[in-house]
Formats: sequence, C-alpha cells, structure tokens
Amino acid sequence: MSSAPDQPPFDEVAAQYVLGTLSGDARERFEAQMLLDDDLRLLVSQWEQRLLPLVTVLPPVEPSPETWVAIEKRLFEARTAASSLSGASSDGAPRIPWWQRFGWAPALAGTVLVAGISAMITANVLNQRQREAMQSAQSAQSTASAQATQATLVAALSDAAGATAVLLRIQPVTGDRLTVVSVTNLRPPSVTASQALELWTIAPGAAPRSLGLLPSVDAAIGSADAGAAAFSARGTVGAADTLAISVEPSGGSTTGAPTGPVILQGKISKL
Amino acid sequence: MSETSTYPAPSLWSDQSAELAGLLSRIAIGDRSSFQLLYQRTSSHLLSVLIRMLRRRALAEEVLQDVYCSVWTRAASFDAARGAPMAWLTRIARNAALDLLRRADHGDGETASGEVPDVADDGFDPLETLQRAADARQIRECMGALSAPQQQAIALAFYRGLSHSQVAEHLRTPIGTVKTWVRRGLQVLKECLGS
Repeated sequence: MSSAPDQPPFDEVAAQYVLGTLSGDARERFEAQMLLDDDLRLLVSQWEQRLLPLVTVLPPVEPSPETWVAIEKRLFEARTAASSLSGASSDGAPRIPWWQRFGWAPALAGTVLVAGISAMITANVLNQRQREAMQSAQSAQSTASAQATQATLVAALSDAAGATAVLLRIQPVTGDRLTVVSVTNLRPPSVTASQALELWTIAPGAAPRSLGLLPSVDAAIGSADAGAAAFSARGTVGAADTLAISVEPSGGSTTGAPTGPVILQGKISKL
Repeated sequence: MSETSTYPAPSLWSDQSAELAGLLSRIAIGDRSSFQLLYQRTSSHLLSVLIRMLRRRALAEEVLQDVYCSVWTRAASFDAARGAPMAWLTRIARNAALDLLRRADHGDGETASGEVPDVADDGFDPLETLQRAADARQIRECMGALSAPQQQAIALAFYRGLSHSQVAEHLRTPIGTVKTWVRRGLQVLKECLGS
C-alpha cells in the first residue's frame, strides 16, 4: 500500500506499534483494529521487515536446557494428562468435568500473550472507515465484505496424542451468528453412519455450548478437497474459548452436553 | 554466553526464512519434531531480544517459555506471504516483553526497566548495537541518514522496550522532543528503505 502523504497516521501508528512506543491503551486499541483491518496488518508486517536487522544483529544467547524441558512439559504433558477424558476417577483423582480438565495449563501459559484480546467485535474498536465498510457489508449481505472487515479466528483441534486433526476457520458474522468458513481435514476422524460429530465451544470455567453438528462426515470432514467445507452455526465464541468435537448419535446430543467421547479439542486463536 | 559469539550475518536470515516457514507450516499441523527444530534455530535469538528488554535472565527465560507455547498454538496463523518467520517470532516475543514492562510501569514495578541490569546484559549498548545493525546491507545507508539523537531514541525504544516518557527521562530531554526524534527517525528510515 502506498504511503500517500494525506494518510500518514496509520503508517506512523504501525511504526510506533512495532517499535513498542505506543502507550498501553493505544496499543490495545491498535491490536483490536489490526484484527479487523488487513491494511493495518500489512503496514505492521512491512515495519517488522524494516526493523528486523535490528534483531538479527543481536548476539544469540543460548537458553538453559531447563527452558525447553519446561516448554514441552507445559504443552504436551498437560495435554496428554487431559486427554484421558473418561478415566477420570481410575487414579483416585477427584472427578471433575472433562472440559475443566483439559488444556488449561497451556491456556494459562499463553495468557500474557492473548490478554485483552476479545473476539467479540465491539463498536468502540471500529473506526469510521470500518464502520462504514461494515454497514455496507451488512446491507449488501455481502459475505466477502464482511470477511474483510471482521476478525477471523482459527482453531487447530488435536487428538489425544496432540496431533492436529482438523483446522477450523471461524468468521463471526452478526449478532450471534458465526460461520465456520473452512474445515481443513488433516486426519479424518472416523465415525459410523449412525454417528455425528458435534462442535462445542467452552469458555474458561464454563460448561460446553453446542455450535451444531459438523456437516456430513463424508462431505466435509472426510472430503479430499481440504479446506472446501464450510457451514454456518449459531452461537458466540470468545477468543479464550476452547473448541471441542465429540462423537454423538446422529442428530446430535439430546442432553445439551456432550455424551460421547471428545475426540478433538483445541484453543481458539486469532488469525 | 558471550557477546562476541558468532552469529549469522543478517543476509543469512533471509536464506533461512524459507526453512523456518516450512517448519512453522508443519508445526501448524502438530509436528513436534519441527517444533523442536524451530526452537533450536531461533530460541537463542529471541532470548537475546528478551534479555535486552527485561534485563533479567531468569525472567527472560520464563517469558521465552510463554513465547514458544504461543508459537505452538498459533503457528497456523503465520502467513509466509505476509513477512519473514523471524519477524513474526520477534513480534510474539517483543509483545510478551512489552506487556510485562508496561504492566510493571503501572503496578508492582518488579520488572521495571530501570532496574539494575542483570549479568546477562553486561556491556550491552543499545546505540552501538543499532549502529552495528546498520552493517546489514539493507539499511546501512539509511541508519546513517538518522541524526544521533534519532538513532539513540529508536535504539532505547526498540532494544530496551522503553516508552516515550522513559526515553525522555533516560536522555534528560522533554518528551515532546523525544516523540519528534522517534517519529522523524522512523520516517527517514522508511523513506530511505522504501516500502
């Protein structure tokens, strides 16, 4: 994008953001805007590229071996322990709901990085330009425009072994509507014809809420055309939520909570 | 750890970008061996950045853990078309450190940037390092186009994570002047480097 002299502020703010001199509030507002604005993200990338030599000239400092051990522990041991969803009391551990047992160690570890970022699009982070774009998108019912002005969230759902099986891209639409714009199948979960895969969102400390059934296993999850599947769901998701997929009877859980095994789960992250 | 240890010439970094991007794409689908390789290739550079900013080795290593946990979960959002992997990793690391520094400014002060430097930081000179960065082909001439105060203000902000007011305090200069140095300095850099 060109740096027309009549619009220096965006580029200037992007530069200050990369340098780190934006004040706390301004930095948070800018990050929220970045989620919504491709142009801003591009400006930031360009500044990061320009200033990268300042980083690469630093003499490296080897971390202590304990740091890698701690990282592996936080990421993989918590996940493995958390994956034994059904055997909760076999080891005498207090039986607590599965959705409170998995993932929280890495989730908390990441708190410092994602704090303050919410996927709920609020009016006060939108500047006039974006507000206009969003209004025109809404009136035109234009999915493409809506996608350009709203945050896309992604979630990599992993199995018990920590291997990512499904990538979801989620596009908030309006109100409580959201669209899963693509389901990328990496390792198709296998279910029988009388079973369905149900998608759940779990806010920290809350019970799972259903986002609906994934489209036909053969058509979407099992599709050879990776990334082609898309479906619409109703519900709200937060940036700190965990998504999970459980195996349910065809038609989905009738209890409002997962009844079958949870085969995949993963944290939401912003794109 | 030695300040004189060898490190890759900046030009080598662009050669490594493709490799690092490949590792990130495999990490995005849960490949732990790629994750370990990425850590081996990049962690010493990110730790160096964190130590300059946080000025405490132990704290920097803790934040380094957060950084790589985040890299693991966010690798899918890295877009090779949008910039170098090292730039993306650096953003995650610097943002984590800036979060801590800014929080300290408003509260407990435990990690305040004015703290007595830790041994890991011995002999580090932000301005001298910035000038050394200018040896990189891309920005050699451009750094020379900055005035000395502009260079110093940018070096303190970038390497130490200092805010405008902290830079002003450090240089005993009014904050308005510092803001101008930084803004003008960045502008000169951009014009010189092109977009």
